[in-house]
Amino acid sequence: MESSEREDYLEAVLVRHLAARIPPSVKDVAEDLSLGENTVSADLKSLENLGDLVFDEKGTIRLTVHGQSTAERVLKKHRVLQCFLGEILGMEEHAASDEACVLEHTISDSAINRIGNYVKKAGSRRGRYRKNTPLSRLTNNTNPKPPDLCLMPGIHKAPPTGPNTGLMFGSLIDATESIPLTVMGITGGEYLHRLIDLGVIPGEVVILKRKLHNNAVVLQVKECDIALSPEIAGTILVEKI
Amino acid sequence: MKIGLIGNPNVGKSLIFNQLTGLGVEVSNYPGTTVGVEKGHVCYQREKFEICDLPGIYSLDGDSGEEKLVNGMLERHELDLVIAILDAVHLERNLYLFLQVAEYNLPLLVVLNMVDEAEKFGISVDSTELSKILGCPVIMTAAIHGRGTGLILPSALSSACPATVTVAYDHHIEAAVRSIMGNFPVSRPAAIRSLEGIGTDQEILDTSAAIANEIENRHKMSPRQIISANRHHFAEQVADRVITIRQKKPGYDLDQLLTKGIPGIPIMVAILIGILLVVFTLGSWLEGIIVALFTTYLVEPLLTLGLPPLLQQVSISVLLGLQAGIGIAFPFIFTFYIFISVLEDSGYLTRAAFLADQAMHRVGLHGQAIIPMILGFGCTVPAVMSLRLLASRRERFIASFLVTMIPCSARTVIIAGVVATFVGIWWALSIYLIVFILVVLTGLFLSRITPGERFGMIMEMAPLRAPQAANVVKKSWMKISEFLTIAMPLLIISSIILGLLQYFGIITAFQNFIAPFSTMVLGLPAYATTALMFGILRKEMALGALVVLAGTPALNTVMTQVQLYTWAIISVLFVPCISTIAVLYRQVGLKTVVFVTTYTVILGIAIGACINLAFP
Repeated sequence: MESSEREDYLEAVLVRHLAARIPPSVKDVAEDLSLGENTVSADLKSLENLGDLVFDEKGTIRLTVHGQSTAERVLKKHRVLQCFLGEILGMEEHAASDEACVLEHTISDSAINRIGNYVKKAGSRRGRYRKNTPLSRLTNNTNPKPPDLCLMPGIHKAPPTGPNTGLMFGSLIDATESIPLTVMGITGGEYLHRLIDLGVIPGEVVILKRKLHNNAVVLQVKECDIALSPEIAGTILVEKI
Repeated sequence: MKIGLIGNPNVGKSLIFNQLTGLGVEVSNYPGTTVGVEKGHVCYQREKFEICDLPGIYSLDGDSGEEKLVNGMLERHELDLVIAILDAVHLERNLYLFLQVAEYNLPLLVVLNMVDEAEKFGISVDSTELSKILGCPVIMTAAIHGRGTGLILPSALSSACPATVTVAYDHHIEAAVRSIMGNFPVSRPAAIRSLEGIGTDQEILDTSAAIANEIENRHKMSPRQIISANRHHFAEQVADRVITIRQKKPGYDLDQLLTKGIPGIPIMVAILIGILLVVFTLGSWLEGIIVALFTTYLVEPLLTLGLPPLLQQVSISVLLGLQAGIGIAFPFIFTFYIFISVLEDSGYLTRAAFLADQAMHRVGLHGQAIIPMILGFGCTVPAVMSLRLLASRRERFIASFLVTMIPCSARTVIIAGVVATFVGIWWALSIYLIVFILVVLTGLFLSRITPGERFGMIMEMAPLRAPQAANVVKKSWMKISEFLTIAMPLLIISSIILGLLQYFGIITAFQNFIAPFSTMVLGLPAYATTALMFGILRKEMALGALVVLAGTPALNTVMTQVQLYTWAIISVLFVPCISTIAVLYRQVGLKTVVFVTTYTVILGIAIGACINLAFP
């Protein structure tokens, strides 16, 4: 398998997982990529052999740490590129996303860092309201192929240099305790408004005070401690500062 | 003149309400103690004012019943003056709600409460500066010590005025609001809300939705999110300007222990079991004394009076009803509530709820539901009363089944007195196991079939505080009075009815009637089934009735071990007692009561029949 194919698969699994909040099945991934289920199944099996993912007993796909970091790196590149092409260069949204889908596999880490920094500066120059400028709403997105998600330039911190560029953001349940995090978005849900009212908004700095083994969490936001069920914690996307 | 107290949950509204009106409203250290609107009157300078304690909310735009209620009152101009209570410790989050309230242009007074706690955290708030920014008077209080609360009413009446502060929304939002207000005769807050998709007028909503769509396309963020973000940002700026934080010594955070899986869960289990044990021992000891006093000083003298038989039967029944009520109320409910109030006021219950979230999920509930379940081991009545804590109807429905099934202390008396004594301690424990399994199965089943919204747990953790003895006793006392006013009349009436049935020989007739069913299906003698009926009045009365009807306290001489076991398990499962039915009716309505009662009757009989089939 080509490395771009591998990255596409991993990215698709991650995006689906973030959107649906549950690990996807082979069928889900096939649907998202508009590919045949048999092909996808065979390809995912070979990724399993590469140690990128595992199938659990229910047949759903779970990324390994290795697979997850690759997927996140690719997704991050995708978002930076889509943001750059769309928001800065003014390309049409879907075209920008399609273009990003191709470039994300070949662009180097240093180039993406520079673009990220550029986008960040451009965001603060335009500085409309607060830290959360052309905020992409991270909705319950089950769009085929590219996620119509885009990084929020205003809060996008410079990616760390060096080899370890992965694992920059994920849902709250992937975060570690006691480290300040920036909220990136919330992937839908009827409780969305309650979270917003409590101050869980994109750009807000929060601290994960406690995470139980079942992923119920205590989140400190605006100096208040808030207990959240795992299914709610899983919809809050955060980035390490 | 109508004055409303508005604020976030757990900022001390009820405490201030109590101090203003002298009324007793429940005060707890967990969010959501006040559900409806509590009203009280107060006279000041020969004028009468109505004060409303509104439920605590985080925002006026939410979908919950409480948020709609408060917003409705503001929108319909039902309040003449608003006292906004803000928590000085969490000023920024509290200002978010205040900024929304301020848009309604009502005379406002800001009460900055909990300044004592803020000082402890090294937070000081410049109230003059805050007043300048908000454009309305601000006073500082520490309601828990009664500091500053005397000033609330005088300042509200002399100086309250509409706040001049306005949130600068994003210019697209401002433009949209202007355009909505230009086309329709609506107020600014109503226009803002319609942009967020809230309102009743379809025409305005349609227009707003079109504009909102455009804004959303441009910003990649819904107007509601933009508006909220603007408000939060504004609140943050205000808070930054008025708050100074001194370097404080980092104190030891008890949550290091309490919210961790280990040792948090063992601590929780130890606390719960400890409370059950203490309440059970203390309760049965007190109950024994009360029952003995009743028998010696009221029942026996009454029997020696030589009243006409019918009158004697009725008066004995009244006494038995009273005895049943007081025999449960004081020993079990009052002691239980003392402990629960301590847990509530210390803020521990929210920690327990957090830890229990996962287990509760399995049965279709959330962490908060642990509170009624814990109360259920003591007495089902307060457990049912606390069902109001649960967020959705669905959860209240499921929890009313599970809570009524949990063996309360009265049922523990039966298990101990019949099974542990005559069959064996392990068999007694097996009843708990069976009930536990049935509770889980019922929960699993109900969570599958019950329609309604599933609302995950989003619960603010109450700060840990030392509970105040006066509040603990007062609150426990309020619970008792609530119990006595609801359940006491019912207890007395049903006791009289049972007494009359016995007097007119209907019990004997019933016994003859039930005999075939009793022996065929349950494998029990008819008198044992009749005794079960007494359990409706009060669970452990079934045991008393069984002893009387069997004619001997040595039950193992008249019934087999299987019969005793069957009898105990049926009486544990079947029909909640009459007090439970009464409070359940008040909390969840007639339909659910009928469901719960029918279900428990069927369950009890089915389990009894199963045992009879297995061990004929």
